Amino acid sequence: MDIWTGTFPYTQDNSMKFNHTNGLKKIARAHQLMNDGYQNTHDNHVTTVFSAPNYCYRCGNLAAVIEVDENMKTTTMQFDPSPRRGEANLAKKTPDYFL
Amino acid sequence: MVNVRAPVYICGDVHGQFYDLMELFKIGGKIPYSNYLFLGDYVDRGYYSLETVCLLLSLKVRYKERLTILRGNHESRSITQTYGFYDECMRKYENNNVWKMLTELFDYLPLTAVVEGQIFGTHGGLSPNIKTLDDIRKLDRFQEVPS
Repeated sequence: MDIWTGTFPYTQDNSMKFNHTNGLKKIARAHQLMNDGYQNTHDNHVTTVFSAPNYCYRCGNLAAVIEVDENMKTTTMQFDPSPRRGEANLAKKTPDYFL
Repeated sequence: MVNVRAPVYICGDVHGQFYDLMELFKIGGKIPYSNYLFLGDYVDRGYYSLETVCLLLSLKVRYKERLTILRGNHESRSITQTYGFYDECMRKYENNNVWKMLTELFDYLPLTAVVEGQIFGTHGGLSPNIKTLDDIRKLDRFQEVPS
């Protein structure tokens, strides 16, 4: 255990053992900001997915979702933040004397 | 532990970014035409935690087979008082009744899901005290997140 944060980092060994013991192929988890919206780690035994694009309206990250199809094939799809309300209009308010 | 059927879209933290959640539904398709598994953290930090969590809960009530919502570390009384959800409820309702009810509801959210017995979904990750899926089923989860 990390005595400063009280967290238990889990290693590739832990993930693979957990998946093997329980007959699983993959762990899908969230909780951490990912710049690309997702990250495959632990030799693809763990995928982290984060679905808040431009986290806190300032982090500039992409978001992602994991698509699992009917044959259990996984694909990751990224997406951008929605256009922020008000911002587009702000640009139109450029005073005449700049034109 | 919830058993989830494929096909499904697995989603991570949303954090009150309601309009970005709308983008997400544009990518994956709307419920009930697509299935979703959310891994927690619907509230805090973004401006629309209330709208986000209320929409997801309403969809769960209306289309319970189409949507699975797990509990993240932010679905807790203590965390929401620091990271914005409590303040947002106070600002929008001028009392904490809705916050009290929603955080009580959070105590009943499931912690983990398994997609077709193959993909294990959880918010944070593994625990050194949990070796098997049966260990998770034995947990008494109907309580505030222990600190």
